[in-house]
Amino acid sequence: MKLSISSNVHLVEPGDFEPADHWYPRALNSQIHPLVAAFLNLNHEQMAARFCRLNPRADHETVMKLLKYQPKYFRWSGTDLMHVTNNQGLRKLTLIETNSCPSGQKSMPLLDFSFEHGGYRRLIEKTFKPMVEKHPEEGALAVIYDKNPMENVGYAATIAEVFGQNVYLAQYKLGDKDAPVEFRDGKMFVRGEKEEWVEIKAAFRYVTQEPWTRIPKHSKTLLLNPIEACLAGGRNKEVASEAYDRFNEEFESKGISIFTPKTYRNVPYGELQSYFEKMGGSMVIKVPDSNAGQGVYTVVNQKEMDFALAELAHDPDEVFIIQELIHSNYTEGKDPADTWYHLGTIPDSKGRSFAFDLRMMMHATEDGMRPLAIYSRKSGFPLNQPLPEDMNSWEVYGTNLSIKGDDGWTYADERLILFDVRNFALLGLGIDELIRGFIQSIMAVYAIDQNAIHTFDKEASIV
Amino acid sequence: MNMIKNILIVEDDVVFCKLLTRFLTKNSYTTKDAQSAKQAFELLKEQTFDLAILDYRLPDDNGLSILESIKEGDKVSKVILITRYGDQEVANKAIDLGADAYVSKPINPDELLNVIQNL
Repeated sequence: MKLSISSNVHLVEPGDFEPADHWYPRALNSQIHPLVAAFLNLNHEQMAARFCRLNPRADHETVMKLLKYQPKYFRWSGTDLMHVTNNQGLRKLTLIETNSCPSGQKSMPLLDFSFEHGGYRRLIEKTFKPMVEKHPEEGALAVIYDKNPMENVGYAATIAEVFGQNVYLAQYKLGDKDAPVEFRDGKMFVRGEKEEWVEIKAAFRYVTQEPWTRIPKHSKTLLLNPIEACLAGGRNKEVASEAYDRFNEEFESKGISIFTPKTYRNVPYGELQSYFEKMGGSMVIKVPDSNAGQGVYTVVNQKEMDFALAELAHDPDEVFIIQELIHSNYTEGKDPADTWYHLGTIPDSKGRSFAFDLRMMMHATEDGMRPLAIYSRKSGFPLNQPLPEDMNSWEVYGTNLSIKGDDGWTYADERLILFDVRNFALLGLGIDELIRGFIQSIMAVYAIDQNAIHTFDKEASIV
Repeated sequence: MNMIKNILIVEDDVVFCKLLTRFLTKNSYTTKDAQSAKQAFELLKEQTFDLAILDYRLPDDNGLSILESIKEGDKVSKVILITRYGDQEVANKAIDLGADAYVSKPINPDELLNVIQNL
């Protein structure tokens, strides 16, 4: 490894992969739960058969087609799901969002101890490498990122290992006036050792903060993922929600659908208060292109509504997504038949049960879609205790670990729940939920990828 | 073998700090890192260091002015300044101000280790 070959660029060499640098210590020392390992080893036929057994209306052939789907733009993705129930005790996984630069490798126990690079290598070997081999452009390989150095150094080291060549690791931050990455005529360049610009053939991209401000559409440099995956819904909740609705219309006759909390789109700032009243005094407000829990407001009383209105007042022309809140317990619902509640974690010895989400990272291989990494994050305050007056409801419902500080991003990793022998049982999940979560996640990927194809392929043919 | 044991790394690139920290830790050094001059001075209020590795370019100051401050006090025994590739002028200034050595980017960790061991 050569550090700082230019400002914010390092050169990663084959042999630089160090497991302790790319996993949280407790993940590195954990052992995967046997149920999770069994799920990860299921083949597509087994998953489809079980899914159809659980969902008798689902069409087996359609489910198999989804599992074998080859996304054009969205080949690596992560979904956030929540485990919910209603007054009939009907348990479901509801889709909260789909992410085009998902974290997760550093929290995933190894599936096979003899496979040192774990999911990093599976993603690079089974997804990135086949794409690069088919890409005709010339140039070097790179990883560009603006967050999550632990995983991105791991990806760079794995690419160096798998391809047997050095990899440029470049930080590409929003607002950097002297950024080490440039696009010229759609081709990416990274600043090299002697301040020269090095042409890049293919790059692994983990740029999350408004990436469309600096990454062009129709890039000649191969990107995993290209910006089209973000614009079509991988980083915009509004567009994603429209894509899910289209999917549900298209596949209604096949007995499958993407299940999300009830959603209202394009809500102007001036109508937020009336929605709050219409929805019975609780809801979730989302800024469409927000991520990492920023720009998401859980609102359960007028005080929180006033806070959200004040925070969002800076751009009165912005439109928002409103979603029904997944409630903390059965008695809070306004219409029990149409209201969903968190199942929450198995109560601990103090009787506390916490809301949690499920992050499902997956990738497209030549054989179809495969799960790659899974973990959960729990909220900070239990579902089944009264919320102290001075506490925000985000503490009960918010599960995101990312915390934005003055000097960058940190993670509240004490709320991370690994899928290992010690922790997985806390969630009350089984293989059936993992299969349901995975197949629903593929539906979301399909919906967003198809949206990208319809939107950008037409545009490319005009260009 | 010199008596350097604990090292302060002052560099605004978090990845650089993490990677160099990992490398130096494996080589039996203890490290603290700061991503700005302000953070560096806060650390220097709390403890002493056998060595400071200072990047020249920082968001709120530059390595030379930290070097000057360090040399006025007694919190750090030795200083290595990191300069940009080919920036001999800054390297000369650093030596004039009392730096014990300078290294130019890109940093090869093994070469840096060699410099540290020969201070």
